[in-house]
Amino acid sequence: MSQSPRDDRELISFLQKYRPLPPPTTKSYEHQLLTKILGEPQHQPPKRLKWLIPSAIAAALMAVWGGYSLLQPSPYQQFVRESSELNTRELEDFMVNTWQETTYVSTEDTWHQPTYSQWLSLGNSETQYVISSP
Amino acid sequence: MLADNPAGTTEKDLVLRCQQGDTTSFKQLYRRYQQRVRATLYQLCGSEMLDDLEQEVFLRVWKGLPKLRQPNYFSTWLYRITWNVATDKRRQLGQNLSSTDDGSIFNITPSRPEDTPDLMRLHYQDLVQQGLQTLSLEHRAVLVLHDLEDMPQKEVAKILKLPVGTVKSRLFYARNQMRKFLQAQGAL
Repeated sequence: MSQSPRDDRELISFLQKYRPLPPPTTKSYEHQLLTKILGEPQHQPPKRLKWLIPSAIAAALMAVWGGYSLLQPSPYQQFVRESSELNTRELEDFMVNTWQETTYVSTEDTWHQPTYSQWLSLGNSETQYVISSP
Repeated sequence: MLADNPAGTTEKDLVLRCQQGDTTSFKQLYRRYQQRVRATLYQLCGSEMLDDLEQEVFLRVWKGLPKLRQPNYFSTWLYRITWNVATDKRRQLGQNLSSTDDGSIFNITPSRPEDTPDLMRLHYQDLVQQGLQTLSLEHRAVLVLHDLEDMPQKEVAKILKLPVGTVKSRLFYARNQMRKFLQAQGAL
């Protein structure tokens, strides 16, 4: 069943010598064909899209990460903010206390302060003191 | 604007320019390959709709060129398109193909040998074309590309997307069938 290489060569030589030739074309056919083909748009490779997709993903990830970092204060910023809040609160407490102490008159301290009657008695005495007697 | 046939222009250059939409380069590529593509289509599919098939091949080439990543393999790619167009046509013909008795898909009127050498030549060409039509499209393609177009088996395997072993076995079968046919016709 198997054929020798000589048989193959003989066959191939015959086929190549008498290879069927297609009917020839005319010059006008070529012109028409090329006009029709070249009027068609070419498929553009999705090269740009391939670049865009990973770039867009990377940009989106960066934006998310950046936004998160901006919204989330750093430990230093957190410390400064907390301490400033603390100082403000302490300052407010201090001012309130001080104000209250200033305005509040205790009973123990009243004897230090001359009352209106004392001032009157002083006015009636012979000796004029600039200030009330101790 | 490129000259029609500038010296030193390689096929790769032409392909690269075509990828940029240069129509002059495409015309040059067309003229380089038109005869071979047309002959291959004729040997694979016969004369029916030959012009349409040729146009379809070069239309696909023009449209698909920007997507061709390796310009060095242009000819392999071109023959693959030719093969795809041929198989698409077979699919379109569908039932009509399988219904023919001898497996041939085209009506080729056998001619008789004559005394005139030119007519003898035409007769043998006709016989070869008939012999090709007795083969299945798969076997025919291997024989046409390897023995008629003189391509190496590796190249044929790439074009048809087949293992080289399959190409060899198909070639062996196709040659045997062809030999039998030509011997029966008294040509060999």
